[in-house]
Amino acid sequence: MTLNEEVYNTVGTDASGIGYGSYLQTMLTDGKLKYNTPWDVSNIYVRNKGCFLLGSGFENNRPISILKFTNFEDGNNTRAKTLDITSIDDSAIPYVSIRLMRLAYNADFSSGLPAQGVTWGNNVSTTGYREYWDIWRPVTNINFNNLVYTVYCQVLDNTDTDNPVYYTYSLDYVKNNLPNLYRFGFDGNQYLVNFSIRAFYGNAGERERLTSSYIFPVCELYFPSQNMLVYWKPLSQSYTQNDQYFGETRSFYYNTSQQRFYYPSITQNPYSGRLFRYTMHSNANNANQAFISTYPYPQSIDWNSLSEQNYIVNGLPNNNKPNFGIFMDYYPTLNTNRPIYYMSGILIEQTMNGLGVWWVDTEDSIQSETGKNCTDPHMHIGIIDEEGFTNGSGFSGSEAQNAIQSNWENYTDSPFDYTIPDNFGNLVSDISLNSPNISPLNTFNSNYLISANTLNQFASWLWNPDGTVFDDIVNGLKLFGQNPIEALTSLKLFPFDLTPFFSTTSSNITMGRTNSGINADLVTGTKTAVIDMGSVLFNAKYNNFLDYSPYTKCMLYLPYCGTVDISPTDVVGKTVSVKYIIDFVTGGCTAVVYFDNIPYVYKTGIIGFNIPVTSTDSAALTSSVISGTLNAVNSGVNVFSGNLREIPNFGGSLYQLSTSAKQTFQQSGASTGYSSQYQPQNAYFIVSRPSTNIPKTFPHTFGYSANTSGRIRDFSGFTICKNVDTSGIPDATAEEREEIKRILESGFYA
Amino acid sequence: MQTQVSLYTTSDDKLCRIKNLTLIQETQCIITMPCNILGPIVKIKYFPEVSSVNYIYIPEFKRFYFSKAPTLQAGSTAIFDCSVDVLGSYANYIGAMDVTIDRNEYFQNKYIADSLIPLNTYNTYEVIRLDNTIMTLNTATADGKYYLLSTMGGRTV
Repeated sequence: MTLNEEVYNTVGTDASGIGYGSYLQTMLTDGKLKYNTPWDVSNIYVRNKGCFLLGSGFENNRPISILKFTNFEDGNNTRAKTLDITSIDDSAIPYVSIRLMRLAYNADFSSGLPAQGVTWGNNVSTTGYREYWDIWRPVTNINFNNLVYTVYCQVLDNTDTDNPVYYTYSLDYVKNNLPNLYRFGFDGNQYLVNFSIRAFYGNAGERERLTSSYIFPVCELYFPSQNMLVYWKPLSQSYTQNDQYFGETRSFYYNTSQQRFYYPSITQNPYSGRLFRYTMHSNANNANQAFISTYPYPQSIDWNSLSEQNYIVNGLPNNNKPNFGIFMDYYPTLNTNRPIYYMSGILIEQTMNGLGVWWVDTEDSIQSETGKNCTDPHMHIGIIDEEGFTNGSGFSGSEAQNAIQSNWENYTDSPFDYTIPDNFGNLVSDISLNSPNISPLNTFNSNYLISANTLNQFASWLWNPDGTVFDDIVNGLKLFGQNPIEALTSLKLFPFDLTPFFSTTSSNITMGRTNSGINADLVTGTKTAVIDMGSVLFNAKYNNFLDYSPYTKCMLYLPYCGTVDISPTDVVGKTVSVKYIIDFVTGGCTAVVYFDNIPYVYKTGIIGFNIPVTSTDSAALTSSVISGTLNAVNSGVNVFSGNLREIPNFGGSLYQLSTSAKQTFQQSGASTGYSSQYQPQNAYFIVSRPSTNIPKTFPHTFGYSANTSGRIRDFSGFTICKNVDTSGIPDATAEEREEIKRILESGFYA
Repeated sequence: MQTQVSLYTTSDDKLCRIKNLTLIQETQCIITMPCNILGPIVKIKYFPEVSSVNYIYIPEFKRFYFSKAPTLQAGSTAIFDCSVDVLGSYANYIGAMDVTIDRNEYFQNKYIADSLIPLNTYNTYEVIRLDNTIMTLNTATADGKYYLLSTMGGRTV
């Protein structure tokens, strides 16, 4: 990477020799960074493919999801509006965001609550709360191998619910002595509720804890579909306290009265588990919206809609419903102090490795060598692959000498260029329908919006046996066609009121040049030809592979167009909406199915039912009289008519449109068109979902698909490995190696 | 061959890498020769709890062994037919191995198709409706403008 110094110029250097740039807010003000615009990525030293941090859920097998900031309330929360990312196409995967890691510097402790940037409101007056933007600076110069983090785990011992105790352990201690601590939320009395990191800086043996400043590993959310870097965020949305940086373990909610997002403290003190409930209860009105971590992304819910019925099904969490702290209040056997997130030593380790920085799992190793001299097995660093990605795995001890970071003197020595490639084409977040200014309607002919009553009046006039009427019509038509019925281009019945679609003026219906004296709405222009047929958020049910093809199938019925198969893979987590484009000339329609803001499916149909005006059913006698009257002039008119079609620049195309439209209608068949009006008038999905029958013993005897990598000791329970390499086991005989390989690949208890 | 032996009992599954062991006795034993190191036959002096022994560690071989129920011989001798427990013997090495985890009891990648998940032969169905207020033919009145009439011309005589 080559730091773009036009953006990230050094404005100062602290006593440790760490160079830093301007505050982010200043850079935004100066235009070096812009909201909702990809930011300069020249200070990114590594990408992290996944999010390993935390997930929501009460059970170990619930999906791990990253908190994403969607569904922001508008209100006066300008910051939220600025950061509006509600239309992100996340391909239904909860953590498609790619973490682009960089270092941020903070040395502003004047408030006494350093980096308390937990709010997003624009009117924050509470003392000590600061926006991230106001306290962060980009790091421009740092000795990468001198920067080491320690990791601590906060463990809640809730054995005595009246006197819960918090312990702080090293990650090493937790992994070796509390191996089952990650299963928390429902069972046990000890919970891994949080973790913190502390930065140390300096040469090995001289490393000092950064207490007057702090270095954050921060990341951005990058959404490939939008080519958009959204914002800097720390390891997760959290805060620092006494120079510790805490990982996220919380939900958050937005209080419209104070225009702030809150992170209700569920685990910070023995009673804070009730804070969420209490706060929401005390302000139980629609102004309070909870934003919660759930799959596929946080949803806004109304407090008043919460109920046991919604969130408990047969005594278990309803997977279709959001999960968050309030659930605990309704589950009688749960203690409100219990955390709601899934976190484990493994996840913490993966998270740290994902940052690509040096870290130790016990403070005893903080002075150990890094880089090419690293030998301490408690010193770790994330492995960066050839493309510049970390994936959560890491090197430890002497193996870490092989880490590419060992060669970095400055973090800017990272050889990777994370500049967003520009070969994606023109990436857009939505595709809009066209809005033509010129309509084929009302150009060479006249169109009228009429009611059934008016139509009856018109028919009565038209089929009136009074000969003067016919004479008028015939005289008026001699210039245009051989048959007076040609003056009626079409008559169509639509299943909706046409009034909103047209601008009209009151006028008598005219055939050719004959004024019928029947008043109707003459179309003067088309307002729109698009109908909104509704939308729905297509939710997952199982929150796993079963929600997708080929396990789940779905079909979308589109009125007047038929059905279309939809792949759940394309729509899970997306808002599916349907719009109809109406062709008022032909009566045809095109159903456009959107997945979020992108039209994916087009299906045509017939929505305007043609009324066959040439029929002689009800007025056979009159019709035959009219036809007979014109027989005398048929041949001459035929010639003229033919010529008219061939004459260029004389509206020939419009004429053909009119006549072909009429033919199309007749071919479509009245029965088909009209029978469609008896079919459902709403679009709807029919979703066929698989039905599971998983015995309780399944995970213990079969295990779940994991497809991950790591040290065996970091896993527990029933485990099956793939393609095991046993060559590293000393003293084992060939038979034993084979046996180990066989057992590991066929299943064992790790 | 005479050597030291630790006699344990365990109720853990043979497939557990780390077993909970209860030490019953550490004693001298005789290993009959010739001896396959992976399946030695161990003779010890009988003691009352000998029948609960099902797991043996032989420091000389640096291995743990599963033992079948002992065979008692005249002269107060109990004979154990042993087979090596590779998981237990190399537990630390195995624990440190970096491997690809295909399946695990607690760690789940939920978005990888899992062919072992038992599915019923039947499916469940959901109907999700998209509501609109535009299609109103069923409530239309004779004054509603649902017809579009097209006529040629438009000029009066």
